[in-house]
Amino acid sequence: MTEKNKKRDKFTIKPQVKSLFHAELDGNKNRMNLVFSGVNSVKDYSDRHLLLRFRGFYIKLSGEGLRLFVFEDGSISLEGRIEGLEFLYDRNC
Amino acid sequence: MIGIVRYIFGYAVITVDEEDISRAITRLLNLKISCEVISGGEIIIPLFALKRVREKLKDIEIRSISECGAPIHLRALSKRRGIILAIAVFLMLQLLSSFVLWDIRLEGEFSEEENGSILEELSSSGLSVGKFWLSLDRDKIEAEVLAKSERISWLNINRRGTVAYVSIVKKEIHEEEKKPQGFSNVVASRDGVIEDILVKEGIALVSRGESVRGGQMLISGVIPADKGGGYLYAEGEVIARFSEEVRARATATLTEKVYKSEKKRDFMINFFGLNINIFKKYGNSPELCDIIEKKQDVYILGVKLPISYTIREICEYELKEKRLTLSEMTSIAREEMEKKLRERLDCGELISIKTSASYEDDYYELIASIVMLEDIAENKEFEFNLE
Repeated sequence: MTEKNKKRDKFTIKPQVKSLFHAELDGNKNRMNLVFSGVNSVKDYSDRHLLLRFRGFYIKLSGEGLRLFVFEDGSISLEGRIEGLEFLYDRNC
Repeated sequence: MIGIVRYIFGYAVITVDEEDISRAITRLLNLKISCEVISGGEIIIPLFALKRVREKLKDIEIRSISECGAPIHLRALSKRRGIILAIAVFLMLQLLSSFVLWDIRLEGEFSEEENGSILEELSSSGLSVGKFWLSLDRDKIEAEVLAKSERISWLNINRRGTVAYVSIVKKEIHEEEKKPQGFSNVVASRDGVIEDILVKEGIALVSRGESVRGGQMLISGVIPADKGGGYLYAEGEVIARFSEEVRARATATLTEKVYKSEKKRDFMINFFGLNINIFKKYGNSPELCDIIEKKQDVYILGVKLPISYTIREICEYELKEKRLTLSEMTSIAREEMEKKLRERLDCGELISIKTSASYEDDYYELIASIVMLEDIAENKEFEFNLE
């Protein structure tokens, strides 16, 4: 494997290991429940936005009444009215 | 659900500065400690992880820590021994109550009266409300009740929770129709014109269309010599047509009850067959009064408890004369007439009815002239001395 390919492989999330996130919509309350796995750290949090750092990229979420749960298996669940989801790629992160 | 589990195991709410919140969450994430983040810098963590969290978040300023949940409440309660004792006694009573027989339900086709006497029989054999299940020998009770009772052919006692369900099969007693003994004639119970005659035993002495008087012999129990001779118990049906008057009178004055406004009450609790008088607002019952008694069983979640209460109301009254209007008298007389006709027509068939009324100062009377068919046969026994 070349050095370039090795670097690319480092940033690739292996889908067979774990899914990145799982979403469930609660139609009645107009709320959503998102579960993320493989989170390295939480960079920013308030009840209106959340910035999660993964290996090689960030996910930025915005919404209203966001509640964050951390589980023992290292996954994170976000509950609330989610209005935006953005992927930010950064090789250095 | 999460809330209940969290309460049972206990939880702590730690408050950190808002700028430190993401750092604290990341730390908890790396430590794999489950938590919930509430806006305002509050993080809910399990109580058992509090010590570890304190150590790992040393570099983050924790503004406050509050501990909540059942372990904290129990810790607070441990200083109040009375409450713990009361809870322990309550749980013990709860446990013991499941061993007590709370109710007996009978399964079988019996009248209220029969149910009462069967319950008495069961009670005399040892099965009664308030007994401990462990002290009951069901086979022995079943055998004893079956041996004693004349109306039960099969009995089975089942336990469902704290209730005894007693399945009962009634003894079927077939009584054969007894043939009357002795000798008798059939006579007319009243005047009338014979419409039909059916002789079961004996010799008919009258025929259709014939007028008969009350007490006249209709079927003879004496067999003439040319028909073999002898004596028997004559039987038969003799349908006769007759007319009669039915009168219903309503008097102009009526004695009515005037109740006093104050009602006297008596409240009694029945606990495991023991009557406890809670309060009584009077001495002896007055002479003129109506007593209304209401017995109520107590249920919890559909389960009958061995407790019932009785409320007795004593309604005192005075008798006062009242002058009735014509319409009131008419209505009373009509009701009376309907009642009398219903009774009269129970044993016969109405052919025609003609109604008239008479009204005087002190009464109103309805007169119904009826023509009807009825069985007028009446047995009149006689003795025969063979000597």
